[in-house]
Amino acid sequence: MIRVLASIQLSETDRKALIILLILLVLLVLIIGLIGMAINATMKHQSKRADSMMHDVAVTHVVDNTRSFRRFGFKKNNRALFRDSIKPFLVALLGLAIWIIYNIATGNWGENPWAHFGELFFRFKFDNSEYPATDPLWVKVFGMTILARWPEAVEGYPRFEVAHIASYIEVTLWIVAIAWYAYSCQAYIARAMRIIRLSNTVYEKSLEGFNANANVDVTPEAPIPPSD
Amino acid sequence: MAALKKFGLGILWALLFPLILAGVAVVGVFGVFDFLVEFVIMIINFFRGKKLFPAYPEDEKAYAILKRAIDKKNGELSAQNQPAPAPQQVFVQQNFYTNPGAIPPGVTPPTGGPAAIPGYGQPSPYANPYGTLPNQQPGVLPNQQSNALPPMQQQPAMPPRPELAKLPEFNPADYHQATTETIDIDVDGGEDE
Repeated sequence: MIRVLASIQLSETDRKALIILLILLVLLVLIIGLIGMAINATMKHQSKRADSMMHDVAVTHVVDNTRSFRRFGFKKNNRALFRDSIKPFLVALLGLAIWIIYNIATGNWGENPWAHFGELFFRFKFDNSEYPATDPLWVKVFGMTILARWPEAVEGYPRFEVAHIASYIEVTLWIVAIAWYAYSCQAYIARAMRIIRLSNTVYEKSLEGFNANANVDVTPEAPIPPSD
Repeated sequence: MAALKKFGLGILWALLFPLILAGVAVVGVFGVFDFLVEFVIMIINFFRGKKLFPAYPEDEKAYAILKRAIDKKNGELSAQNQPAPAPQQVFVQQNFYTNPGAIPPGVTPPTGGPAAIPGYGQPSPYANPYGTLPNQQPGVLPNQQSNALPPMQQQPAMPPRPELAKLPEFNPADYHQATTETIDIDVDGGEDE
């Protein structure tokens, strides 16, 4: 194996490409790891609420078995999801109200507010037809269609149009509402996982390290004194 | 090492991220239905005059148990913290009525023996404070008998003052007549006449 590896001769360009590939791989692992750590920390933080929700009923033994614990935990978790989702729903409704009022005022019911919002960002040419056939954007490598290079930006973007200001506001509100609601849903999942884990551990009875014979105290009877 | 372990777990969570996203999508759909159901319940509670989010019966039961436990503990603590009552010392006054001529302890007797002390050998009037002495009313000491005040005599009434005798006598009928006289007020300026 080592001989095979040693026999591979790499050109200077190949070495550079390999080094760049390795750096990219390390960076990718680093980014994924950091994102994962952030998710883990968020989930842990969100799951703490499950403890406070279930603490009193568990301590006072009002709920005294795994099944009741799960049932009551999910009941409270559903209500917590409802309470958490009131605010994002209100934000989304506010965006909807702005959209309706704007369209009633202008009569532009057919316009796409998301397309208007996209004007605020760079746009790239992702269609292969916009590139010459000798230098396409998308290429096929081992049967997979992948990007050959970074796409060219469409001229004239980003731009801000005062006439589309209502679309900018309503789409911003919807994005905030969606992100907020997604966070609430993630919290719901974190709490549900915590409730399932707690239901298994809170009422656990372990016999690990217990020996029934070790605790038996057998005192030998005192011998009868010899009779005279 | 711990940081590396955390980092490894992070990679695991990142790999699970698509699964979490799928879960979020499912919960997102479920959450809409949950919102509608809980919203209806909330509205019903509102119109019934209850709290929007009333406590569950299990929670109420747990709160009651906890409250009882806390009250009990507070009661015990307050009983412990209460200062101990001050010792009630009752000082019993002991009057030692010595016989006249008796030598108090620690006093050197005068020369000439106890007979030199005046009153030696005579019975003490204080020997029995709760009893009665001969020729004496009970509860009255001999000193009180000798220093008793003379009996009080009633003073004669004061003579009438001559200047008050000159004033006319008060007649209520006269007073009533003077206050009920009618007063005619001419409002119209004498036009009726």
